[in-house]
Amino acid sequence: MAKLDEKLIALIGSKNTILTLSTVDAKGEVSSTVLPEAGVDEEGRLVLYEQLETSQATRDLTYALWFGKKVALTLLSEIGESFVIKGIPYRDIIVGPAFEEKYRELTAADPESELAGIWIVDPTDIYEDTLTVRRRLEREQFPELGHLDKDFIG
Amino acid sequence: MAIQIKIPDWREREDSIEKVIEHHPDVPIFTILKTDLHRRGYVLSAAARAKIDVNIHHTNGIHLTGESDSTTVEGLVLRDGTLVCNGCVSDDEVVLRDPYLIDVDENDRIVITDQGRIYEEAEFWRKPDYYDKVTSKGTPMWKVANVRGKRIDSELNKYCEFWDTPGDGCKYCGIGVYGVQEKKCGHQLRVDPDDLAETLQEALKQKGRFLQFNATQGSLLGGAKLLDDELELCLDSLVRIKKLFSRFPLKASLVTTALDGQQLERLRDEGGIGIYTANIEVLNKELFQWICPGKARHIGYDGWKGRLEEAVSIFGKGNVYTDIIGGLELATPHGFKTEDEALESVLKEADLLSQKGIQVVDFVWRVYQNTIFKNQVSPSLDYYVRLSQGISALHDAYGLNNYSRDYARSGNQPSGDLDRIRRRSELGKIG
Ligand code: SF4
Repeated sequence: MAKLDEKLIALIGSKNTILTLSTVDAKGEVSSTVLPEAGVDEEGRLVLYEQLETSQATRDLTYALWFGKKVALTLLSEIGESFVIKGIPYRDIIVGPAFEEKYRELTAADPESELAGIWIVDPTDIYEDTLTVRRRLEREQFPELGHLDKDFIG
Repeated sequence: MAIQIKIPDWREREDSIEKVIEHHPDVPIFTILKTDLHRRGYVLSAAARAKIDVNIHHTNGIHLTGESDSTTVEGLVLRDGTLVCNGCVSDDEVVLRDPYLIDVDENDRIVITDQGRIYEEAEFWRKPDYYDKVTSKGTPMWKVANVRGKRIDSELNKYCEFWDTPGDGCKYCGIGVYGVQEKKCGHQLRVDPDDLAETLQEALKQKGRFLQFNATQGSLLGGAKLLDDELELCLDSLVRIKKLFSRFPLKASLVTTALDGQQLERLRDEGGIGIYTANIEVLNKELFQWICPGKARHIGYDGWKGRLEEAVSIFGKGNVYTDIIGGLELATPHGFKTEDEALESVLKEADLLSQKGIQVVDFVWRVYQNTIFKNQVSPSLDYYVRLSQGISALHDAYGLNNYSRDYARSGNQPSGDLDRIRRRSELGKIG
Protein backbone atom coordinates (compact mmCIF):
# COMPACT_ATOMS: atom_id res chain seq x y z
CA MET A 1 0.00 0.00 0.00
CA ALA A 2 1.43 3.41 -0.96
CA LYS A 3 1.67 5.88 1.91
CA LEU A 4 -0.17 9.20 1.82
CA ASP A 5 1.88 11.91 3.50
CA GLU A 6 0.45 14.62 5.74
CA LYS A 7 0.31 17.17 2.97
CA LEU A 8 -1.77 14.87 0.78
CA ILE A 9 -4.03 13.87 3.66
CA ALA A 10 -4.69 17.54 4.35
CA LEU A 11 -5.30 18.26 0.66
CA ILE A 12 -7.76 15.37 0.33
CA GLY A 13 -9.70 16.66 3.32
CA SER A 14 -9.65 20.31 2.26
CA LYS A 15 -12.92 21.84 1.10
CA ASN A 16 -10.89 23.88 -1.39
CA THR A 17 -9.47 20.87 -3.22
CA ILE A 18 -11.20 19.69 -6.39
CA LEU A 19 -11.42 15.88 -6.41
CA THR A 20 -12.05 13.85 -9.55
CA LEU A 21 -12.54 10.10 -9.55
CA SER A 22 -11.70 8.18 -12.72
CA THR A 23 -12.90 4.63 -13.19
CA VAL A 24 -13.23 1.94 -15.82
CA ASP A 25 -16.09 -0.51 -16.29
CA ALA A 26 -16.05 -4.18 -17.25
CA LYS A 27 -16.02 -3.28 -20.97
CA GLY A 28 -13.12 -0.84 -20.62
CA GLU A 29 -15.33 2.25 -20.91
CA VAL A 30 -13.80 5.12 -18.95
CA SER A 31 -15.74 7.51 -16.70
CA SER A 32 -14.91 10.34 -14.39
CA THR A 33 -16.83 12.28 -11.81
CA VAL A 34 -16.20 15.15 -9.43
CA LEU A 35 -16.47 14.12 -5.78
CA PRO A 36 -17.85 16.60 -3.26
CA GLU A 37 -15.49 15.24 -0.60
CA ALA A 38 -13.15 12.41 0.36
CA GLY A 39 -11.06 11.45 3.36
CA VAL A 40 -8.31 9.19 4.66
CA ASP A 41 -8.89 6.66 7.44
CA GLU A 42 -6.56 5.76 10.33
CA GLU A 43 -4.94 3.05 8.25
CA GLY A 44 -4.03 5.46 5.47
CA ARG A 45 -6.75 4.31 3.07
CA LEU A 46 -8.78 6.64 0.92
CA VAL A 47 -12.41 7.05 1.95
CA LEU A 48 -14.81 7.94 -0.85
CA TYR A 49 -18.49 8.65 -0.39
CA GLU A 50 -20.71 7.66 -3.28
CA GLN A 51 -24.19 9.07 -3.00
CA LEU A 52 -26.05 7.42 -5.86
CA GLU A 53 -26.77 3.74 -6.30
CA THR A 54 -27.23 4.22 -10.03
CA SER A 55 -23.96 6.07 -10.65
CA GLN A 56 -21.31 4.77 -12.99
CA ALA A 57 -18.81 5.28 -10.15
CA THR A 58 -20.79 2.84 -7.96
CA ARG A 59 -20.71 0.22 -10.70
CA ASP A 60 -17.07 0.79 -11.55
CA LEU A 61 -15.85 0.82 -7.95
CA THR A 62 -17.65 -2.50 -7.50
CA TYR A 63 -16.00 -3.88 -10.61
CA ALA A 64 -12.60 -2.68 -9.41
CA LEU A 65 -13.07 -4.22 -5.96
CA TRP A 66 -14.22 -7.52 -7.43
CA PHE A 67 -11.39 -7.90 -9.91
CA GLY A 68 -8.51 -6.00 -8.29
CA LYS A 69 -8.59 -3.13 -10.82
CA LYS A 70 -7.39 0.38 -10.10
CA VAL A 71 -9.32 3.63 -9.87
CA ALA A 72 -7.68 7.08 -9.80
CA LEU A 73 -8.39 10.11 -7.66
CA THR A 74 -7.04 13.40 -9.01
CA LEU A 75 -6.60 16.33 -6.62
CA LEU A 76 -6.34 19.95 -7.69
CA SER A 77 -5.37 22.24 -4.81
CA GLU A 78 -6.44 25.86 -4.52
CA ILE A 79 -2.91 26.96 -5.51
CA GLY A 80 -2.89 24.79 -8.61
CA GLU A 81 -0.91 21.80 -7.36
CA SER A 82 -2.18 18.53 -8.72
CA PHE A 83 -1.74 14.93 -7.54
CA VAL A 84 -3.02 11.58 -8.74
CA ILE A 85 -3.63 8.74 -6.31
CA LYS A 86 -4.36 5.37 -7.84
CA GLY A 87 -5.74 2.60 -5.72
CA ILE A 88 -7.74 -0.60 -5.49
CA PRO A 89 -11.08 -0.56 -3.63
CA TYR A 90 -10.87 -2.71 -0.53
CA ARG A 91 -14.28 -2.37 1.08
CA ASP A 92 -17.74 -1.02 0.33
CA ILE A 93 -19.52 -0.12 3.55
CA ILE A 94 -23.29 -0.20 3.06
CA VAL A 95 -24.45 -0.84 6.63
CA GLY A 96 -23.27 -0.17 10.17
CA PRO A 97 -22.43 2.77 12.41
CA ALA A 98 -19.95 4.48 10.06
CA PHE A 99 -22.47 4.38 7.23
CA GLU A 100 -25.29 5.72 9.37
CA GLU A 101 -23.14 8.48 10.84
CA LYS A 102 -22.17 9.71 7.38
CA TYR A 103 -25.78 9.44 6.18
CA ARG A 104 -26.94 11.55 9.12
CA GLU A 105 -24.23 14.12 8.43
CA LEU A 106 -25.15 14.37 4.74
CA THR A 107 -28.90 14.57 5.33
CA ALA A 108 -28.42 17.17 8.08
CA ALA A 109 -26.79 19.40 5.46
CA ASP A 110 -29.28 18.51 2.72
CA PRO A 111 -32.31 16.37 3.60
CA GLU A 112 -32.49 15.07 0.03
CA SER A 113 -28.95 13.66 0.16
CA GLU A 114 -28.41 9.97 -0.27
CA LEU A 115 -25.55 7.62 0.49
CA ALA A 116 -25.06 4.45 -1.52
CA GLY A 117 -21.72 3.33 -0.14
CA ILE A 118 -18.55 4.37 1.64
CA TRP A 119 -15.65 3.10 -0.41
CA ILE A 120 -12.36 2.32 1.26
CA VAL A 121 -9.54 2.31 -1.28
CA ASP A 122 -5.96 1.06 -0.81
CA PRO A 123 -3.61 3.60 -2.44
CA THR A 124 -1.18 1.83 -4.78
CA ASP A 125 0.54 4.69 -6.67
CA ILE A 126 0.89 8.38 -5.92
CA TYR A 127 2.07 10.95 -8.50
CA GLU A 128 2.53 14.64 -8.44
CA ASP A 129 0.69 15.85 -11.54
CA THR A 130 1.28 19.61 -11.34
CA LEU A 131 2.28 20.71 -14.86
CA THR A 132 5.33 22.74 -13.82
CA VAL A 133 6.69 19.82 -11.81
CA ARG A 134 6.13 17.31 -14.61
CA ARG A 135 7.76 19.71 -17.07
CA ARG A 136 10.84 20.05 -14.88
CA LEU A 137 11.06 16.26 -14.49
CA GLU A 138 10.67 15.69 -18.21
CA ARG A 139 13.54 18.10 -18.90
CA GLU A 140 15.73 16.34 -16.36
CA GLN A 141 15.00 12.83 -17.54
CA PHE A 142 14.57 13.39 -21.28
CA PRO A 143 16.87 16.32 -22.19
CA GLU A 144 16.56 15.39 -25.87
CA LEU A 145 12.81 16.18 -25.92
CA GLY A 146 11.03 19.49 -26.41
CA HIS A 147 10.98 22.06 -29.19
CA LEU A 148 14.25 22.99 -30.72
CA ASP A 149 13.67 26.73 -30.44
CA LYS A 150 13.78 26.44 -26.63
CA ASP A 151 17.57 25.97 -26.79
CA PHE A 152 18.23 28.24 -29.76
CA ILE A 153 20.48 31.16 -28.95
CA GLY A 154 20.90 32.50 -32.50
CA MET B 1 -25.34 -33.74 19.09
CA ALA B 2 -23.06 -33.29 16.13
CA ILE B 3 -23.70 -32.20 12.58
CA GLN B 4 -24.26 -35.15 10.27
CA ILE B 5 -22.84 -35.06 6.73
CA LYS B 6 -24.90 -37.09 4.26
CA ILE B 7 -22.35 -37.20 1.43
CA PRO B 8 -18.99 -37.62 3.21
CA ASP B 9 -17.07 -38.04 -0.06
CA TRP B 10 -18.62 -35.03 -1.82
CA ARG B 11 -15.22 -33.38 -2.25
CA GLU B 12 -14.15 -36.24 -4.52
CA ARG B 13 -17.30 -35.94 -6.63
CA GLU B 14 -17.34 -32.18 -7.27
CA ASP B 15 -14.98 -29.45 -8.39
CA SER B 16 -13.46 -27.53 -5.49
CA ILE B 17 -14.27 -23.86 -5.04
CA GLU B 18 -10.73 -23.07 -6.23
CA LYS B 19 -11.46 -24.84 -9.52
CA VAL B 20 -14.80 -23.07 -9.87
CA ILE B 21 -13.13 -19.69 -9.25
CA GLU B 22 -10.50 -20.58 -11.87
CA HIS B 23 -13.18 -21.60 -14.41
CA HIS B 24 -15.09 -18.36 -13.94
CA PRO B 25 -12.58 -15.50 -13.95
CA ASP B 26 -15.40 -13.07 -14.78
CA VAL B 27 -17.37 -13.89 -11.62
CA PRO B 28 -16.22 -12.27 -8.38
CA ILE B 29 -15.00 -14.56 -5.64
CA PHE B 30 -17.47 -12.85 -3.28
CA THR B 31 -20.46 -14.15 -5.23
CA ILE B 32 -18.98 -17.62 -5.66
CA LEU B 33 -18.19 -17.83 -1.95
CA LYS B 34 -21.62 -16.57 -0.91
CA THR B 35 -23.27 -19.07 -3.25
CA ASP B 36 -21.27 -21.89 -1.69
CA LEU B 37 -21.99 -20.66 1.84
CA HIS B 38 -25.70 -20.82 0.99
CA ARG B 39 -25.24 -24.25 -0.60
CA ARG B 40 -23.02 -25.92 1.98
CA GLY B 41 -23.82 -23.83 5.01
CA TYR B 42 -21.48 -22.61 7.72
CA VAL B 43 -20.78 -23.16 11.41
CA LEU B 44 -19.14 -20.86 13.91
CA SER B 45 -15.99 -21.87 15.78
CA ALA B 46 -15.91 -21.30 19.55
CA ALA B 47 -13.72 -18.23 18.93
CA ALA B 48 -16.22 -16.84 16.41
CA ARG B 49 -19.10 -17.50 18.79
CA ALA B 50 -17.25 -15.65 21.50
CA LYS B 51 -17.29 -12.63 19.18
CA ILE B 52 -21.09 -12.49 19.16
CA ASP B 53 -22.34 -9.62 21.26
CA VAL B 54 -26.11 -9.92 21.55
CA ASN B 55 -26.34 -6.20 22.23
CA ILE B 56 -24.70 -5.38 18.92
CA HIS B 57 -25.14 -8.32 16.59
CA HIS B 58 -28.24 -9.57 14.91
CA THR B 59 -29.33 -12.81 16.54
CA ASN B 60 -32.74 -14.27 17.39
CA GLY B 61 -34.46 -13.89 14.05
CA ILE B 62 -37.99 -14.84 13.13
CA HIS B 63 -38.46 -16.62 9.81
CA LEU B 64 -41.20 -18.49 8.00
CA THR B 65 -39.21 -21.64 8.75
CA GLY B 66 -38.71 -21.00 12.47
CA GLU B 67 -36.86 -18.84 14.96
CA SER B 68 -33.12 -18.68 15.54
CA ASP B 69 -31.44 -18.18 18.92
CA SER B 70 -28.54 -16.16 20.28
CA THR B 71 -25.84 -18.80 19.74
CA THR B 72 -25.47 -17.80 16.14
CA VAL B 73 -25.82 -14.78 13.89
CA GLU B 74 -28.50 -14.03 11.34
CA GLY B 75 -25.98 -13.42 8.60
CA LEU B 76 -22.61 -12.21 7.39
CA VAL B 77 -21.52 -9.26 5.31
CA LEU B 78 -18.44 -9.49 3.11
CA ARG B 79 -15.98 -6.72 2.19
CA ASP B 80 -17.83 -5.70 -0.94
CA GLY B 81 -21.19 -5.51 0.84
CA THR B 82 -22.26 -8.99 -0.30
CA LEU B 83 -24.72 -10.46 2.18
CA VAL B 84 -24.72 -14.06 3.30
CA CYS B 85 -28.31 -14.61 4.39
CA ASN B 86 -28.61 -18.35 4.62
CA GLY B 87 -26.52 -21.24 5.64
CA CYS B 88 -26.02 -21.11 9.37
CA VAL B 89 -26.05 -24.79 10.33
CA SER B 90 -27.39 -25.73 13.76
CA ASP B 91 -25.49 -28.11 16.05
CA ASP B 92 -27.60 -31.19 15.32
CA GLU B 93 -28.43 -30.52 11.67
CA VAL B 94 -28.17 -33.10 8.90
CA VAL B 95 -26.52 -31.50 5.86
CA LEU B 96 -25.31 -32.78 2.50
CA ARG B 97 -21.77 -31.42 2.53
CA ASP B 98 -19.30 -30.16 5.11
CA PRO B 99 -20.14 -26.61 6.06
CA TYR B 100 -17.59 -23.78 6.03
CA LEU B 101 -16.08 -22.76 9.36
CA ILE B 102 -16.40 -19.15 10.42
CA ASP B 103 -13.37 -18.52 12.59
CA VAL B 104 -11.14 -15.77 13.98
CA ASP B 105 -7.64 -15.24 12.50
CA GLU B 106 -4.45 -14.07 14.18
CA ASN B 107 -5.36 -10.45 13.41
CA ASP B 108 -8.61 -10.95 15.31
CA ARG B 109 -10.69 -10.74 12.14
CA ILE B 110 -13.74 -12.93 11.58
CA VAL B 111 -12.87 -15.08 8.57
CA ILE B 112 -14.53 -17.65 6.34
CA THR B 113 -12.46 -20.83 6.25
CA ASP B 114 -12.55 -24.36 4.92
CA GLN B 115 -10.01 -27.05 5.71
CA GLY B 116 -7.75 -24.45 7.28
CA ARG B 117 -7.71 -22.10 4.29
CA ILE B 118 -8.95 -18.54 4.79
CA TYR B 119 -11.17 -17.35 1.93
CA GLU B 120 -12.36 -13.93 3.02
CA GLU B 121 -12.98 -11.75 6.01
CA ALA B 122 -16.54 -11.16 7.14
CA GLU B 123 -18.57 -9.22 9.67
CA PHE B 124 -21.62 -10.30 11.60
CA TRP B 125 -24.84 -8.49 10.78
CA ARG B 126 -25.78 -5.78 13.24
CA LYS B 127 -28.98 -5.67 15.17
CA PRO B 128 -31.30 -2.80 14.21
CA ASP B 129 -32.20 -0.29 16.94
CA TYR B 130 -35.88 -1.27 17.15
CA TYR B 131 -35.16 -4.96 17.70
CA ASP B 132 -35.46 -5.25 21.49
CA LYS B 133 -38.43 -2.89 21.79
CA VAL B 134 -42.03 -3.89 22.37
CA THR B 135 -45.17 -2.56 20.68
CA SER B 136 -47.92 -0.89 22.73
CA LYS B 137 -49.84 -4.17 22.46
CA GLY B 138 -46.92 -5.91 24.15
CA THR B 139 -45.53 -7.72 21.08
CA PRO B 140 -41.73 -7.89 20.86
CA MET B 141 -40.83 -5.98 17.71
CA TRP B 142 -38.34 -8.65 16.59
CA LYS B 143 -41.35 -10.95 16.23
CA VAL B 144 -43.11 -8.42 14.01
CA ALA B 145 -40.31 -7.71 11.55
CA ASN B 146 -36.88 -9.04 10.79
CA VAL B 147 -34.03 -7.45 8.87
CA ARG B 148 -32.00 -8.65 5.96
CA GLY B 149 -29.35 -6.33 4.63
CA LYS B 150 -30.93 -2.95 4.12
CA ARG B 151 -34.46 -4.32 4.07
CA ILE B 152 -36.97 -4.65 6.85
CA ASP B 153 -39.08 -7.76 6.38
CA SER B 154 -42.37 -8.84 7.78
CA GLU B 155 -43.90 -12.25 7.35
CA LEU B 156 -47.55 -11.38 7.60
CA ASN B 157 -48.83 -14.92 7.96
CA LYS B 158 -46.88 -18.02 8.93
CA TYR B 159 -49.28 -20.64 7.66
CA CYS B 160 -49.60 -21.75 4.04
CA GLU B 161 -53.00 -23.18 3.12
CA PHE B 162 -51.58 -25.42 0.42
CA TRP B 163 -50.74 -27.66 3.38
CA ASP B 164 -54.45 -28.05 4.21
CA THR B 165 -54.77 -30.58 1.39
CA PRO B 166 -52.47 -33.59 1.73
CA GLY B 167 -49.97 -33.67 -1.13
CA ASP B 168 -50.46 -30.04 -2.17
CA GLY B 169 -47.48 -28.49 -0.33
CA CYS B 170 -44.36 -27.71 -2.33
CA LYS B 171 -41.88 -30.55 -1.96
CA TYR B 172 -38.82 -28.43 -1.05
CA CYS B 173 -40.73 -26.26 1.39
CA GLY B 174 -39.83 -26.02 5.07
CA ILE B 175 -42.29 -23.22 5.67
CA GLY B 176 -45.32 -25.50 5.57
CA VAL B 177 -44.10 -27.89 8.24
CA TYR B 178 -43.23 -25.08 10.64
CA GLY B 179 -46.56 -23.36 9.96
CA VAL B 180 -48.47 -26.57 10.64
CA GLN B 181 -46.65 -26.95 14.00
CA GLU B 182 -47.30 -23.35 14.91
CA LYS B 183 -50.98 -23.72 14.04
CA LYS B 184 -51.25 -26.88 16.14
CA CYS B 185 -49.62 -25.16 19.11
CA GLY B 186 -52.13 -22.35 18.82
CA HIS B 187 -49.37 -19.77 18.31
CA GLN B 188 -50.06 -16.41 16.75
CA LEU B 189 -49.87 -16.96 12.99
CA ARG B 190 -50.41 -13.45 11.73
CA VAL B 191 -48.72 -10.14 12.26
CA ASP B 192 -51.04 -7.51 13.67
CA PRO B 193 -51.14 -4.52 11.26
CA ASP B 194 -51.02 -2.04 14.19
CA ASP B 195 -47.95 -3.81 15.54
CA LEU B 196 -46.37 -3.68 12.10
CA ALA B 197 -47.03 0.03 11.61
CA GLU B 198 -45.66 0.75 15.08
CA THR B 199 -42.57 -1.37 14.46
CA LEU B 200 -41.89 0.40 11.16
CA GLN B 201 -42.33 3.75 12.82
CA GLU B 202 -39.75 2.79 15.42
CA ALA B 203 -37.39 1.16 12.91
CA LEU B 204 -37.27 4.23 10.69
CA LYS B 205 -35.95 6.36 13.52
CA GLN B 206 -32.65 4.70 12.62
CA LYS B 207 -31.66 6.91 9.71
CA GLY B 208 -29.75 5.32 6.86
CA ARG B 209 -30.55 1.78 7.97
CA PHE B 210 -33.26 0.72 5.52
CA LEU B 211 -33.81 0.98 1.79
CA GLN B 212 -36.95 -1.12 1.48
CA PHE B 213 -39.85 -2.72 3.30
CA ASN B 214 -40.69 -6.25 2.22
CA ALA B 215 -43.69 -8.36 3.11
CA THR B 216 -44.37 -11.99 2.42
CA GLN B 217 -46.63 -14.69 3.80
CA GLY B 218 -47.86 -18.24 3.42
CA SER B 219 -50.56 -18.64 0.77
CA LEU B 220 -54.17 -17.95 1.76
CA LEU B 221 -56.40 -19.51 -0.84
CA GLY B 222 -59.86 -18.51 0.39
CA GLY B 223 -62.13 -15.53 -0.18
CA ALA B 224 -64.82 -14.61 -2.67
CA LYS B 225 -62.25 -15.39 -5.35
CA LEU B 226 -59.10 -17.54 -5.10
CA LEU B 227 -56.47 -15.69 -3.01
CA ASP B 228 -58.77 -12.83 -1.97
CA ASP B 229 -57.95 -13.64 1.66
CA GLU B 230 -54.24 -13.22 0.93
CA LEU B 231 -54.89 -9.95 -0.88
CA GLU B 232 -56.96 -8.58 2.01
CA LEU B 233 -54.29 -9.62 4.50
CA CYS B 234 -51.69 -7.67 2.54
CA LEU B 235 -53.95 -4.67 2.05
CA ASP B 236 -54.76 -4.54 5.77
CA SER B 237 -51.08 -3.96 6.48
CA LEU B 238 -50.25 -1.86 3.43
CA VAL B 239 -53.09 0.59 3.94
CA ARG B 240 -51.87 1.14 7.47
CA ILE B 241 -48.23 1.45 6.39
CA LYS B 242 -49.07 3.89 3.58
CA LYS B 243 -50.08 6.47 6.15
CA LEU B 244 -46.50 6.60 7.37
CA PHE B 245 -45.08 7.76 4.04
CA SER B 246 -45.31 10.79 1.79
CA ARG B 247 -44.09 9.40 -1.54
CA PHE B 248 -45.54 6.64 -3.69
CA PRO B 249 -45.08 4.00 -4.87
CA LEU B 250 -43.81 2.86 -1.50
CA LYS B 251 -40.18 1.78 -1.35
CA ALA B 252 -41.56 -1.66 -0.78
CA SER B 253 -41.66 -5.09 -2.25
CA LEU B 254 -44.45 -7.55 -1.81
CA VAL B 255 -44.25 -11.30 -2.35
CA THR B 256 -47.54 -13.16 -2.77
CA THR B 257 -48.98 -16.20 -4.45
CA ALA B 258 -49.65 -15.18 -8.08
CA LEU B 259 -52.65 -12.83 -7.91
CA ASP B 260 -54.89 -12.01 -10.86
CA GLY B 261 -55.06 -8.67 -12.65
CA GLN B 262 -57.91 -7.19 -10.61
CA GLN B 263 -56.24 -8.15 -7.36
CA LEU B 264 -52.95 -6.65 -8.52
CA GLU B 265 -54.64 -3.38 -9.45
CA ARG B 266 -55.96 -3.15 -5.91
CA LEU B 267 -52.47 -3.79 -4.55
CA ARG B 268 -51.15 -0.93 -6.67
CA ASP B 269 -54.04 1.49 -6.09
CA GLU B 270 -54.99 0.76 -2.49
CA GLY B 271 -51.71 -0.67 -1.23
CA GLY B 272 -49.35 1.82 -2.90
CA ILE B 273 -47.11 -0.96 -4.17
CA GLY B 274 -44.88 -0.47 -7.22
CA ILE B 275 -42.83 -3.65 -7.14
CA TYR B 276 -44.38 -7.08 -7.13
CA THR B 277 -43.04 -10.62 -6.75
CA ALA B 278 -44.74 -13.98 -7.21
CA ASN B 279 -42.31 -16.86 -7.01
CA ILE B 280 -42.74 -19.58 -9.59
CA GLU B 281 -39.75 -21.47 -8.10
CA VAL B 282 -39.50 -24.12 -10.85
CA LEU B 283 -39.07 -23.13 -14.51
CA ASN B 284 -40.50 -26.19 -16.20
CA LYS B 285 -44.15 -27.10 -16.59
CA GLU B 286 -43.96 -30.82 -15.82
CA LEU B 287 -41.55 -30.34 -12.94
CA PHE B 288 -43.65 -27.51 -11.54
CA GLN B 289 -46.67 -29.81 -11.52
CA TRP B 290 -44.69 -32.49 -9.68
CA ILE B 291 -42.84 -30.23 -7.23
CA CYS B 292 -45.50 -27.58 -6.54
CA PRO B 293 -48.74 -29.59 -6.84
CA GLY B 294 -50.92 -27.12 -4.94
CA LYS B 295 -49.80 -24.19 -7.02
CA ALA B 296 -50.22 -26.27 -10.16
CA ARG B 297 -53.76 -27.38 -9.21
CA HIS B 298 -55.06 -23.96 -8.25
CA ILE B 299 -53.24 -21.71 -10.72
CA GLY B 300 -51.17 -23.89 -13.05
CA TYR B 301 -47.79 -23.26 -14.60
CA ASP B 302 -49.14 -21.37 -17.59
CA GLY B 303 -51.59 -19.58 -15.32
CA TRP B 304 -48.74 -18.45 -13.06
CA LYS B 305 -46.75 -17.15 -16.00
CA GLY B 306 -49.86 -15.43 -17.36
CA ARG B 307 -50.39 -13.67 -14.04
CA LEU B 308 -46.78 -12.48 -14.02
CA GLU B 309 -47.30 -11.04 -17.49
CA GLU B 310 -50.45 -9.32 -16.33
CA ALA B 311 -48.46 -7.93 -13.41
CA VAL B 312 -46.02 -6.34 -15.88
CA SER B 313 -48.92 -4.55 -17.55
CA ILE B 314 -49.87 -3.14 -14.13
CA PHE B 315 -46.49 -2.44 -12.49
CA GLY B 316 -44.34 -1.95 -15.58
CA LYS B 317 -41.42 -3.71 -17.21
CA GLY B 318 -38.76 -4.73 -14.72
CA ASN B 319 -40.94 -4.15 -11.68
CA VAL B 320 -42.21 -7.73 -11.52
CA TYR B 321 -40.00 -10.46 -10.12
CA THR B 322 -40.19 -14.20 -9.85
CA ASP B 323 -37.73 -16.27 -7.85
CA ILE B 324 -36.59 -19.73 -8.76
CA ILE B 325 -34.92 -22.21 -6.47
CA GLY B 326 -31.95 -23.24 -8.53
CA GLY B 327 -31.38 -26.96 -8.64
CA LEU B 328 -34.95 -28.17 -8.19
CA GLU B 329 -34.94 -28.92 -11.91
CA LEU B 330 -32.42 -31.68 -11.16
CA ALA B 331 -34.50 -33.39 -8.48
CA THR B 332 -34.87 -37.13 -8.99
CA PRO B 333 -36.56 -39.05 -10.47
CA HIS B 334 -38.38 -36.61 -12.79
CA GLY B 335 -35.80 -33.85 -13.09
CA PHE B 336 -33.16 -33.37 -15.76
CA LYS B 337 -30.44 -35.98 -15.78
CA THR B 338 -27.50 -33.65 -16.31
CA GLU B 339 -26.62 -30.15 -15.14
CA ASP B 340 -26.00 -29.01 -18.72
CA GLU B 341 -29.49 -30.04 -19.85
CA ALA B 342 -31.07 -28.47 -16.78
CA LEU B 343 -29.22 -25.21 -17.25
CA GLU B 344 -30.10 -24.94 -20.91
CA SER B 345 -33.77 -25.52 -20.21
CA VAL B 346 -34.00 -23.14 -17.24
CA LEU B 347 -32.22 -20.30 -19.03
CA LYS B 348 -34.38 -20.76 -22.13
CA GLU B 349 -37.52 -20.45 -20.03
CA ALA B 350 -36.04 -17.53 -18.06
CA ASP B 351 -35.29 -15.83 -21.38
CA LEU B 352 -38.96 -16.04 -22.41
CA LEU B 353 -40.04 -14.44 -19.14
CA SER B 354 -37.30 -11.79 -19.34
CA GLN B 355 -38.45 -10.81 -22.84
CA LYS B 356 -41.79 -9.95 -21.27
CA GLY B 357 -40.22 -7.68 -18.67
CA ILE B 358 -40.29 -10.18 -15.79
CA GLN B 359 -37.13 -10.41 -13.71
CA VAL B 360 -36.23 -13.99 -12.88
CA VAL B 361 -33.89 -14.27 -9.88
CA ASP B 362 -32.29 -17.32 -8.35
CA PHE B 363 -32.06 -18.84 -4.89
CA VAL B 364 -29.64 -21.56 -3.90
CA TRP B 365 -31.50 -24.70 -2.88
CA ARG B 366 -30.64 -25.89 0.58
CA VAL B 367 -32.07 -29.37 1.18
CA TYR B 368 -33.78 -29.26 4.57
CA GLN B 369 -34.52 -32.45 6.42
CA ASN B 370 -38.05 -31.38 7.33
CA THR B 371 -39.12 -31.25 3.68
CA ILE B 372 -40.52 -33.88 1.34
CA PHE B 373 -37.35 -33.48 -0.72
CA LYS B 374 -35.08 -34.30 2.23
CA ASN B 375 -33.32 -37.09 0.31
CA GLN B 376 -32.52 -34.99 -2.74
CA VAL B 377 -29.06 -33.65 -3.55
CA SER B 378 -28.51 -30.04 -4.59
CA PRO B 379 -26.25 -29.47 -7.62
CA SER B 380 -22.63 -28.48 -7.86
CA LEU B 381 -21.23 -25.03 -7.14
CA ASP B 382 -20.29 -24.74 -10.80
CA TYR B 383 -23.96 -25.19 -11.75
CA TYR B 384 -25.04 -22.36 -9.48
CA VAL B 385 -22.36 -20.04 -10.79
CA ARG B 386 -23.38 -20.71 -14.38
CA LEU B 387 -27.04 -20.26 -13.47
CA SER B 388 -26.59 -16.90 -11.77
CA GLN B 389 -24.33 -15.69 -14.58
CA GLY B 390 -26.93 -16.72 -17.15
CA ILE B 391 -29.75 -15.01 -15.30
CA SER B 392 -27.84 -11.80 -14.70
CA ALA B 393 -26.91 -11.76 -18.40
CA LEU B 394 -30.63 -11.91 -19.22
CA HIS B 395 -31.30 -8.88 -17.01
CA ASP B 396 -28.60 -7.09 -18.95
CA ALA B 397 -29.79 -8.26 -22.37
CA TYR B 398 -33.37 -7.08 -21.77
CA GLY B 399 -32.48 -3.89 -19.87
CA LEU B 400 -34.04 -5.09 -16.61
CA ASN B 401 -32.54 -3.08 -13.77
CA ASN B 402 -32.70 -5.15 -10.60
CA TYR B 403 -33.02 -2.70 -7.71
CA SER B 404 -35.26 -4.88 -5.57
CA ARG B 405 -34.09 -8.46 -5.29
CA ASP B 406 -30.55 -7.17 -5.35
CA TYR B 407 -27.42 -7.42 -3.22
CA ALA B 408 -28.40 -4.83 -0.63
CA ARG B 409 -32.16 -5.20 -0.31
CA SER B 410 -32.55 -8.93 -0.54
CA GLY B 411 -29.08 -10.42 -0.66
CA ASN B 412 -30.40 -13.89 -1.21
CA GLN B 413 -29.98 -14.16 -4.96
CA PRO B 414 -26.50 -14.54 -6.49
CA SER B 415 -27.76 -13.12 -9.81
CA GLY B 416 -28.80 -9.99 -7.90
CA ASP B 417 -25.21 -9.66 -6.70
CA LEU B 418 -23.85 -9.98 -10.25
CA ASP B 419 -26.35 -7.35 -11.41
CA ARG B 420 -24.45 -4.73 -9.44
CA ILE B 421 -22.12 -3.94 -12.33
CA ARG B 422 -24.76 -4.47 -14.99
CA ARG B 423 -27.52 -2.16 -13.85
CA ARG B 424 -27.76 0.71 -16.28
CA SER B 425 -28.46 4.38 -16.04
CA GLU B 426 -27.48 7.27 -18.18
CA LEU B 427 -28.81 9.96 -15.90
CA GLY B 428 -28.03 13.43 -17.15
CA LYS B 429 -26.99 12.39 -20.65
CA ILE B 430 -27.36 15.43 -22.88
CA GLY B 431 -25.57 14.36 -26.01
S1 SF4 C 1 -46.54 -21.85 -1.63
FE1 SF4 C 1 -45.25 -23.65 -1.58
S2 SF4 C 1 -43.22 -22.83 -1.00
FE2 SF4 C 1 -44.71 -21.26 -0.48
S3 SF4 C 1 -45.19 -21.65 1.65
FE3 SF4 C 1 -46.73 -22.71 0.44
S4 SF4 C 1 -45.96 -24.77 0.19
FE4 SF4 C 1 -44.26 -23.50 0.87
